[in-house]
Amino acid sequence: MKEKDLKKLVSGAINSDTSIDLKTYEWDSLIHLTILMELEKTFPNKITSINGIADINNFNELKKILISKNILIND
Amino acid sequence: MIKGSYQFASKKVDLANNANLKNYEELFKKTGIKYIYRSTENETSLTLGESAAKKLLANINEKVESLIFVTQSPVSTIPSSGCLLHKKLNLQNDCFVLDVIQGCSGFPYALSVAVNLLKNKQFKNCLIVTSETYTKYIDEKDKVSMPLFSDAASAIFINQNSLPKMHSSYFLTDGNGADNLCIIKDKNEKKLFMHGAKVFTFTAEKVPEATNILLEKAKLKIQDIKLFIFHQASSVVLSTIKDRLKIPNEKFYTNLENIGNTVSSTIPIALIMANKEKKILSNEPILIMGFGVGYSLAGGIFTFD
Repeated sequence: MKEKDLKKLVSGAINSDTSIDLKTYEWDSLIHLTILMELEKTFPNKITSINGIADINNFNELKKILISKNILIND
Repeated sequence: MIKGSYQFASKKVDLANNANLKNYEELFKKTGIKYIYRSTENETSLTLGESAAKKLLANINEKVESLIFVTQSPVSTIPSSGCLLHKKLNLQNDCFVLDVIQGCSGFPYALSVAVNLLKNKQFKNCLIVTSETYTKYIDEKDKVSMPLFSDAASAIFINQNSLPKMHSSYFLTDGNGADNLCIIKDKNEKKLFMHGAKVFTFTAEKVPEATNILLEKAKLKIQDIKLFIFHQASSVVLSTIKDRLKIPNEKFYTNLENIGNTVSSTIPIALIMANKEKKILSNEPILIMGFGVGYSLAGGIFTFD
């Protein structure tokens, strides 16, 4: 997965009417669950086992952890 | 076969038309729930449990020798709610009474204890009552927990003639997850707090593992199990379990759409409904598993006569 695909996935989960800045946005519990679900669909059995993924509430941390697991390819 | 009854709380909530929920369609994709039941001020885990049990006992001509009351929303801890239910049901004094406070895994715990008590001929029969009123701790504006949890009770009666065979059982506890689903105090009010993502990752990892352990202990395979009844947590949790274990749709029981997550009552209500729908046949193995708050997980493979 590339960063632009992850941005699309996260933006879709946030599903906001107004434009949001992913660099500063902190998501809530329901959005978090949606992001995990969507990632799980793309990478079955690889997401929920990642230590700490349930603690993340922003795009940059998610990006970092997915890069460390070779799920996200650095552009 | 399974003798049981259930009782929902009286306030049925149509989530699609609830003013507190924006974007219900999106929410439904995660929860799979259309209706929940909320208890009124006068309804408690004791009154709901009493009601479910009395409906069942009206058709049973045996003195109850043991009672297991499963509730995590008890009206009393001193004395135990089991003693209060015993009184309400006017049971005989020489009766074994046990309270189980394990939330969503409570029913498999109770069934395992009951089967062993009866198998060892300690008692002739056992009445298992589950009852929960989690919604008393959930604000109607809480967009995480309100559209999930629902109040209901169930009662299941087993005796030596209807004693299920337990092929395997498995229990898992991880107190490190205690703070992720718990009661917190907010301005002197008790409120339910749930960290959805953490509970979801625990479930997605541990339930498939535990299912495979149960199967291995019973020397059975997925295809040998006629029906899987998992705790009806939410559709996202259930579909993740189903996909990971590759369980065919027709063997995977769900009923949460019109009921909601009734905590310890989801599995017995599902058992009773599946039985009525003739999905539980004599001597065909059924796998049940409860999981969640604690973290706690309990499951078993049973055949019902």
